[in-house]
Amino acid sequence: MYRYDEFDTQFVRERVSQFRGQVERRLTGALNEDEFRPLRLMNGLYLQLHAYMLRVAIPYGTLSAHQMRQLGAIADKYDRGYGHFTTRQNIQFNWPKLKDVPDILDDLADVEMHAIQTSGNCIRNVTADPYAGVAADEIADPRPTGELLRQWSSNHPEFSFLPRKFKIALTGARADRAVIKFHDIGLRLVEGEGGQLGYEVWAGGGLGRTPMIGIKVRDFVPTADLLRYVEAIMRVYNAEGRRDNKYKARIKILIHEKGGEDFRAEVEQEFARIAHDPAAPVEKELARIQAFFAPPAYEALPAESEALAKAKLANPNFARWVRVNTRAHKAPGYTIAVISLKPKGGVPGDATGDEMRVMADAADAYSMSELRVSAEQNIVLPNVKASDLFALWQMLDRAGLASSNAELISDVVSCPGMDYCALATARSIPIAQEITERFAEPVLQEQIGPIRIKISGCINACGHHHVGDIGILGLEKTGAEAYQITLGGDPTESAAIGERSGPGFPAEGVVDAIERLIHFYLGRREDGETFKQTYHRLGHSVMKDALYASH
Amino acid sequence: MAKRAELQIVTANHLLEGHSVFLGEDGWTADHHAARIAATPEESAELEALGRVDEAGNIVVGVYLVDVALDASGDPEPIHYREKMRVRAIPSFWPDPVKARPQSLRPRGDGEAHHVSL
Ligand code: SF4
Repeated sequence: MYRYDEFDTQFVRERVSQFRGQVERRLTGALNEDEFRPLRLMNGLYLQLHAYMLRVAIPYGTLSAHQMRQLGAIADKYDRGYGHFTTRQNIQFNWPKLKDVPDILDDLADVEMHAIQTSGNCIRNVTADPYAGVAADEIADPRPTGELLRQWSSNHPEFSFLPRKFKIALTGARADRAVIKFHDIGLRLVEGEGGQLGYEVWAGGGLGRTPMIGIKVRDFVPTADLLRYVEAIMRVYNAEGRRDNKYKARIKILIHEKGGEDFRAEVEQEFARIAHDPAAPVEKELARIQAFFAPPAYEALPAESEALAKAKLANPNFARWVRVNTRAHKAPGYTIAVISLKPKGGVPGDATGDEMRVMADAADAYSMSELRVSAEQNIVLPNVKASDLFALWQMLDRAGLASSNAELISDVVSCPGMDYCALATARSIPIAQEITERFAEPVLQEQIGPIRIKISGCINACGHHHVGDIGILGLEKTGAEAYQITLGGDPTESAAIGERSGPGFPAEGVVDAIERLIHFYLGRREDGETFKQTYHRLGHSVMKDALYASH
Repeated sequence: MAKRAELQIVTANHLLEGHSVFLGEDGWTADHHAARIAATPEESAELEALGRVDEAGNIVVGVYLVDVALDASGDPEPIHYREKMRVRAIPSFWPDPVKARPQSLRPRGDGEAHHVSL
């Protein structure tokens, strides 16, 4: 994992002490709210429906056991004993008091974390494949590039006042688990001629009010040139992105209005202008960063663990968890384990201080002290020996953290919605809770197979509803909450934006409608088909009708 | 456009603590039942202006008017579901609003008496 150098440490500490001063001046009235708001937002502090909310960045979704433990301690000491992991690999604390925030930021700085650029019109926390560095289908670990981008974009003088917020995601794998086609810039590590590593560059993707799939700007940019290339894109956007209308200010609108060809041409022109400087410190810095991400010393293990096979035979619940919640690791004898934060009736992405400590302990004992946060709002242990899985599962099970539902129907993604968010038009968490209860039966869940349900409490789409197999958007209709359903969305390499079904449903009717659709799918699916495959075979209009057909 | 409700109260967030508060007879309170009620547009404007004074005085932030109707016991209840959730002060799926309810900022003479009873 990356460790702060002196510069990083000093930068973060300075920001904390500046913010401490700003809070003091706010409390004495030397700063009014209009003056203070941009300052607090630059430090990730929002004012929500009930309270302040502090959003903390988890760069490229990677955190150490030590950091996870500190997040738990912060939840207990300053908040109400829990935190919420988001679709952008951040954690949000829901009840901090303004007077405590500088202390929280100091506690974060103690473990090399911060809340800088988790809000505002700047380059936000860079997100990545949660299995980066360990996935069996990966070409190379994209996180050194992620860290380089983090450093470069932190306090970048030219890009601190962009037309609108800017999100970058990256992956080094064939399968896209980082939703790169729906980011302002999406980067996919690829192998070029002669085995040279570089990135396929996508831009102009996004969700929200105007969902769009990004366009490919370039097939290949050598890693050494990537920063310059990203800079060229940022320059074109910063100069030409609209500042007159907040709803048209994202780069996706610029690319859409300009056309892909013109946009590409301008980026290339700008890229050519930013001279390649062989003496530039970028390559040296990348090499320095890369050293932190060197793969750990994996033991030479047999591909199959006998102990694991025995434990699975003896314990069907454990066997199910292994089947559903583990993923292929690049090193033989190792596996990637998903800790689901979607227990039956729970709040998607929420974890208590105690649970964070258990996860930290589990990482220390069984995952080389490392954890990841996924865009699915789950926690991932990236380096678990197959032979340790049973002990790990027992530990998680005791803490209620062994739900076997990764990527199944009850692995619902949900934004905080109106239960917390000031911008919400409806609640999303209670709908998620009802779904996890309705489809709790594990055998049924496995029978239904992989399916993504994603819920947002307003058009801003933090719950990524556009890319769910089933997307749910909470709106207001004549003074009551109403839920609009979209079908056929896909966040992966086969990206698709969900298509709207017919009229929305009242809160009491949404889960019934989904249940009707699921039963219809189970009745009509052909052997081995997933929900997505059945949807594509039967078509949108047939599937959407199933939402409405009454029994 | 929705018709303007007859009655309104003023809400904001406590600057220091962050929780939602309501402008009562003797200052800000966490209990919306203790909020002062404006019955005409003029009274609403006056009430909002009073709230703004405390915003300028760095006691609260985000002052705005909330449409209310009187319930059976004559207490103001928000009409819109968003503010119905806001007055509860906690997520809708939490069971016990009383326990989690923040204390009044400026305790009034009757101490606990103006806390919500369910
Ligand atoms: S989608 Fe809307 S309601 Fe949900 S967190 Fe984002 S802004 Fe809030």
